[in-house]
Amino acid sequence: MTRTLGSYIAAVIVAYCFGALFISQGNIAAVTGLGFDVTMSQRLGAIVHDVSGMTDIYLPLVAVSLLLGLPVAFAVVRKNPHLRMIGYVSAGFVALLAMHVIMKAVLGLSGIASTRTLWGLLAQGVAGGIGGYLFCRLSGQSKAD
Amino acid sequence: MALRSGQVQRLDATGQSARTLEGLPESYVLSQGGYFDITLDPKFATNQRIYLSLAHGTPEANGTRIVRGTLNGSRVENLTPIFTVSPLKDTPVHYGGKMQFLPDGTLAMTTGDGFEYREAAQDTFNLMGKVIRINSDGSIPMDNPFADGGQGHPAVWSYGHRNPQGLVFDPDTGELYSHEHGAKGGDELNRIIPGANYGWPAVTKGVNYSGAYISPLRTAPGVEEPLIFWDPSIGASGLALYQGDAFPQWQGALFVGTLVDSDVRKLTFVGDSVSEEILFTEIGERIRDVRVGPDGMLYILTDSDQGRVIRVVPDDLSNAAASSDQEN
Repeated sequence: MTRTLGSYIAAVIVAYCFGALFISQGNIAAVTGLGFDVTMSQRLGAIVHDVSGMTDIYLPLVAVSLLLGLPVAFAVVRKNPHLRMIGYVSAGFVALLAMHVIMKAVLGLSGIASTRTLWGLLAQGVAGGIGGYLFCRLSGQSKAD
Repeated sequence: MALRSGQVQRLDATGQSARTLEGLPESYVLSQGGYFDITLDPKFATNQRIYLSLAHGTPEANGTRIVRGTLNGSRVENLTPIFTVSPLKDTPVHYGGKMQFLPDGTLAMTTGDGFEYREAAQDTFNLMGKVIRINSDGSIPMDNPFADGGQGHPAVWSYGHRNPQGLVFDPDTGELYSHEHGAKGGDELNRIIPGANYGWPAVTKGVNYSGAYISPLRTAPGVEEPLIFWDPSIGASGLALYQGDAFPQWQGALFVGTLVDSDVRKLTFVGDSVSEEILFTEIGERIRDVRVGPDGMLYILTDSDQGRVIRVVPDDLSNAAASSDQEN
């Protein structure tokens, strides 16, 4: 149980960090797309700012998304152990993707600006998938031991 | 007064009686939609023309529109749409819609970025996120900055705005001022210069509601800096220039209502800087608009289910009225 909880927390943190990173770069891509120059220093500064600054809203959303998504994967994986990796990665991917789609449907607006584009939305799925991958690796070690 | 229900009312000078204006087109009422602003023709005394800005369209395709009509009692007649922001959008927010006649008889209006279409504010061919300037019949003046259409839409006066909620002209200085809502932080007051870029969304003092940068650029070459900005946001709403006689100490000051802080800001220019004073906190309601009446009094419109029009009078008049009430 402790290992599962620790794996979940690690998955949330990593998915959050990658998600925030993708959001940050998506926003900067929109700015440079308008013809404005963004230096490497400003880009790196934005990553630090965004990863450290999105804990109020985005981090809880990621935590809830994975909290809902990973147990679904667990239910599938328990009866199909060979699907363990793909199951958790897919669950993480779909969880974060669904979070943004649901938010847009409820609010009528994109809560996260970078998800207005398909690539920005898919990048959020990738962040969730990375979280799912990490959960799979970390929570699975107890069996290997 | 424009109501949340989409109706427009005419309040009599005593503030005791309000009549709903008849004959107006139905506005698109959802979220921030409805009617936005009402202004009188500079020659209203002879032509009775009024101009109203409103959300027009459907959930799938809506935008800010100006209609012109003739006021006959509580009825608006001969209504004609004279301008519609294009392209239409599918969000019910960020319309702008504040209007201001300029001394040459042209009409300026703010437009919003529609929230989901923030990049449109930097597209000079797109009318979202702009201050536009038209003639009173809707035609486009030949001296607009992009009048030839080669570098932008001929109606565009300035660009790079988010959701401007105030517009006022100072006849003494010839300056046009506008304020606009930032996202999280970044509400700003700007001096509007024809053809100028005000930065949104590439240059802003605010951040996304998620906490992420909208842009790491807070300044940039070729982008006008605000005269003052507010972080955290105050929800600037309504903008009035005081030039009346009732409050000599307010002469030349700008007044800005606030939706978030529920007060009124008095802004005074001191050289190149702007000093700010917070007033009327005792009202305790979201302030939707601030105007100066022809009587020199300040009128404050509150935003709630039981919204009020509050008339601010000098102490001596207030005391005289109180004495009169007691005698009666």
